[in-house]
Amino acid sequence: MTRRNACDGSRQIRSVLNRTKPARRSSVAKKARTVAELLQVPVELLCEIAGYLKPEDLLKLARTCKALRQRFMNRDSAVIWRRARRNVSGLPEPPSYLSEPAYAFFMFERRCYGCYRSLATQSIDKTFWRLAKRYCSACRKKM
Amino acid sequence: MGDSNRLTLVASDGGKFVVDKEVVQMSVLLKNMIEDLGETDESIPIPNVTSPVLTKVIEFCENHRTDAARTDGPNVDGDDARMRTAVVSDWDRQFFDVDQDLMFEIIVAANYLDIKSLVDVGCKVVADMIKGKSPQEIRDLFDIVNDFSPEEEAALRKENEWANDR
Repeated sequence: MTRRNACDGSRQIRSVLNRTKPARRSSVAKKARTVAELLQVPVELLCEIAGYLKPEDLLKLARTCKALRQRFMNRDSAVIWRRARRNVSGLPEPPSYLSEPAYAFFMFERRCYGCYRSLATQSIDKTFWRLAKRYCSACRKKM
Repeated sequence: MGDSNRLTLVASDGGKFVVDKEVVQMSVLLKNMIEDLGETDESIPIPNVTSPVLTKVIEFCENHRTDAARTDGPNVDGDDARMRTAVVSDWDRQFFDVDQDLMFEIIVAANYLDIKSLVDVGCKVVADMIKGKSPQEIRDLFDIVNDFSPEEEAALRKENEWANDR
């Protein structure tokens, strides 16, 4: 991240500063904003923010809108999910056959893989650990 | 200016800020610049940052000047080390109790100026806002427009694979 430039005067400094990323919209232009601020932050900052979240929060973020979905449900974003996993102590590494979001879904969203209803409040919950799937009793009867 | 311990920063809108060199040096970008520049009376333009944002950034640095050594610590790039050092104090929370536009602008400016402690605290504050919320609550919080059709949204729960693999 460090931008180190050998300069011998402030004129070079000025040109260095001007060469870096363009300024964000002015506060005047912002009045007419149509895109949420969160979607405007550079990707590296989004990664930093995600570094303080848990995998289940990333799943939720990825369901808010298309732009964030594209960002998080992309294999290039695996590093973000790995960082989020580190915020859950004792969480084992995902098995090789599960992607990061699939693993997060299995571990943290207690939903039936048949009807996708939440199993959080239901007492009957059959989990097939090897298949990495869980089903409610109704869906299991249909199997 | 004459005072070698102070520097003038000029915001994008021309606003001038006279700041202690020690405080300015919390920005890795400006620290390197000052080192390369040597003794000078020239003011330093910050073309990407407006006066209101720069005011806040300087306020943060003034308040955190005693823990400035952190930016020079070993492990600044180690994720784990960074995670642990990002402690958000009551002062920090109050500092970020501003409207969202300004909050994000401060974080983006801190990233540009390379002020790690401010980036860390800012990102942690945003993360704390997101934590434990439903997709709709996150949308409401950040003014995010739901651009999924109801059918698409219903299908999202089932789609937990990398999008580019499908």
